[in-house]
Amino acid sequence: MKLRYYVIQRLITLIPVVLLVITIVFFISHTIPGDPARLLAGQQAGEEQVQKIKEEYNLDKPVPVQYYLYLRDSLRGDFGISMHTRRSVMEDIKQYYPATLELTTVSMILVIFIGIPLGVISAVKRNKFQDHIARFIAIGGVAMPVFWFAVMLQILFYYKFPVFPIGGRISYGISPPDHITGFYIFDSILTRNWAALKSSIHHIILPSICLAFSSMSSVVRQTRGEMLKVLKEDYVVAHKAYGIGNKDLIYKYALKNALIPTVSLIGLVFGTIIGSSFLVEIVFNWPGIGSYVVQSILTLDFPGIIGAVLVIAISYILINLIVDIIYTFLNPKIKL
Amino acid sequence: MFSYVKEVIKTKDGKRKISVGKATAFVLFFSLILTVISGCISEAPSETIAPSETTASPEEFIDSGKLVFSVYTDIVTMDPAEAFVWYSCTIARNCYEGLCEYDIKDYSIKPLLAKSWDVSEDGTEWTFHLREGVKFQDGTDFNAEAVKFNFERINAIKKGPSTWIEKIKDVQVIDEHTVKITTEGVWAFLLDALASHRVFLIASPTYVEEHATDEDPWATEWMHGHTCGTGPYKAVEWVPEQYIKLQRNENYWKGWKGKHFSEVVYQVNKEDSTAVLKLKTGEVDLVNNLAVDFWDELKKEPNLLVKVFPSMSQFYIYMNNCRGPLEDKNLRWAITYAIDYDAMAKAANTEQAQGPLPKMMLGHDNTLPVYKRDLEKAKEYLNKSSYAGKQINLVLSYVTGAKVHVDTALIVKESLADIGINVKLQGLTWPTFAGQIYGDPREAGDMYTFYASSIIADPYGNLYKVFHSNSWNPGGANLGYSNPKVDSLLDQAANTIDREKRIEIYKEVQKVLMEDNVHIWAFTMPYIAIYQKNIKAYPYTQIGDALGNIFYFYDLYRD
Repeated sequence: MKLRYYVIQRLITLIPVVLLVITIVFFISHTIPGDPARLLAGQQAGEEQVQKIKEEYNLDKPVPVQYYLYLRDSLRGDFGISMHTRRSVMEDIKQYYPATLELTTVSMILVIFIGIPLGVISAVKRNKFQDHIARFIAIGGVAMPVFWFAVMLQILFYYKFPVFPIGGRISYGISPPDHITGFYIFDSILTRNWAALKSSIHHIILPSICLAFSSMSSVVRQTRGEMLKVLKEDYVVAHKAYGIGNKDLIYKYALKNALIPTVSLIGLVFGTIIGSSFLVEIVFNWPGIGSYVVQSILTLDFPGIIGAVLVIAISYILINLIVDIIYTFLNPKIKL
Repeated sequence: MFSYVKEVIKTKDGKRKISVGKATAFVLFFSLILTVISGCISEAPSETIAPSETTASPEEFIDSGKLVFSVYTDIVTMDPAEAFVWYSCTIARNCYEGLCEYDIKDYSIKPLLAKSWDVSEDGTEWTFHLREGVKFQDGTDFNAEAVKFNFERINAIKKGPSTWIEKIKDVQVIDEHTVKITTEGVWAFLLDALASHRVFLIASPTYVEEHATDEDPWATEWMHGHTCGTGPYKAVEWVPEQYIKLQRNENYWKGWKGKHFSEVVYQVNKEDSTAVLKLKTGEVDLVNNLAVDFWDELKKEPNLLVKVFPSMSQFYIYMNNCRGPLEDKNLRWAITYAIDYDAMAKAANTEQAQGPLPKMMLGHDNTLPVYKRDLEKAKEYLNKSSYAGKQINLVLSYVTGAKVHVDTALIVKESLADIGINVKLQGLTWPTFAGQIYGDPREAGDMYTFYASSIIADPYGNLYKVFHSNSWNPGGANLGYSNPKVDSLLDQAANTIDREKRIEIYKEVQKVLMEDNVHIWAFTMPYIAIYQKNIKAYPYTQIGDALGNIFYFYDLYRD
């Protein structure tokens, strides 16, 4: 009962946030000097052509009028036509968003299953060499510029040792699996398209490793910190006195408690990398919403910019909502 | 599984010396899984298909397999009535054809879909005799009706290509293979417009009508992503932002004797480093747009050829002639003699400019002076100007991210610092930059690094756009220059069908522009083609088009 009300309450707060995002992005992007119509028409085009494009996209009207038209259309679900892809923004989002979501989900799985164990090792073996190695990996990941790391991975694992493909979501000769969710890996399994499955996994490894290592530092450090705190607690000492083995102690009791704040952090990291995955997407030619929004910004494609930013913002909010709900299951003391 | 690991160590040693923690075990195990997976499913980078038996006679089609052409961005559209930027035109021009074409070795105008043509006494009526037996991809016939249909379509859609056919008043069908084009007055550039790879390409009317709807009577939505022309290739797949797959049109009227590529892939590689790695491994065959930093590195590769050649685009340092300090002619002369031209040309990997036109352009006057740096002369002019003794501050705007712009801007700044002029560099994104250059010169800045490029193999396009006073209006790239003599000469050129007579007019224009010293004539933009050694072009042509930076894939093959 309470859960349902809570969720509805949170979803209602989405509406003013969405409105705020649209307004801010709209006015900021319209203050950038430059003429998107001229850009679309091309350098050599005449003034008439530029004018025609302006009319097509309502660019010749005053900005507040454009704002009102945008709001009015978006209520009907029409987020405009993207100027640089010439399709409706909804179509573009439907195509590009699942790509980013797939990449960030796989990256988050790596962050969780590599980052958390690294944090645990760090805590349990505090100040021994395992701790230093784990910290080195974590800090190194976040210190390296992610695009440099991406190119290094390409040079190492595509050029020097041809093990992985250099980019893209799937091999050129293989058709993507039938679109059910937009996740190539998931769809390949659902349609039993094993060639596509193999190729999709093969293509996602390098970009997800790159993205994961660049974002896992905070998770590692948080886990380490929380584990250290928990391992000092009285109940841990009591458990040791009772003779409960180290393994059980760490994983069944201590980690679960240490994980609670980390879950919150994981939600934040997940939301963040959805928006900041564009560097990895561009280097690895991953056709996601990140590279879409960059392309929109470079071509002053207002519908594209607003649509993409909106999707990223909404994802962030929804992920945090889910995390908050998971939180309550982990710690029954926390009421909604 | 984890407890197994623990157990093994315990029983082996009796006591646990190295406690392989559960966590460590998991990490190791996970990395092992990754390596195993990658080992199992590693794929070699896609290889090029070896050409089939060379013992087959050249009367037959010898498949050169697949050609992979890499570009840093996806195309805008495949529709020939809209495609206007070189990468979109690469696809359009390989799937569609026009009435004439340029010979890319000497830029003479050759017949293509039109076999021959004549012009009336008064120069306004052109009769074209069309090639017979040509079919579109969909099997329908190419004829005069198709030419008329496309004329109407291009005008209705009113995008880039339509700007170059404004002077065509009317297209009349005389009979199935004869069409008469009437121009508004005498227009010198009809043949050039028809030969251009961007202006008047012919699509199948039947196909367009099949896909037209009430709201979209010219099928712009469908033609955006599908082709149906008379050309050698047809687009069969377009994965946006990833690649476009072209397959050979088996009914192409020129036939497929000899070696040709049956498949061409236009691949998008946004990062130059990705394209470079792929060139090295052979995954990409051909690239024509790569930052200068990579050229030397690629020249050392044993299986790649790097061809740098001059284009028909000339790079200038634009100076604002109607406002600001540069209105002063002596100041412009001072700058002219202060610039380090050698450093500029070297940084751009090309030759210094000789006047406003590229050397290979029709009408170029090769008796023009080539300026060299002369700081004494520069200071002389500085003292003659109205800014003698005063501190001069100029703003030079360039396009961020474009290496050619950045390098040139830096050299300008350093060069002018030597005569005491302070240049502030301002990087702008392309939309902002374009807004200023194509806008009102009275509101524009002092200096811009930019080039003047051509749609046709005739200087009229660039000269008009940059130096005619009409180009002060939005859409023109005139930065404040106005000389009625140049205006009348250019207007005269537009009415002069005879190429030789036009050359004389252009020579005069160049003289005036040099005397007025409008801009700094920096260098000719180089085009580049980097490709696998085994890719060749047929002897009647070459790899690389100085006019448009596009490739004609039908004329290439793999040895």
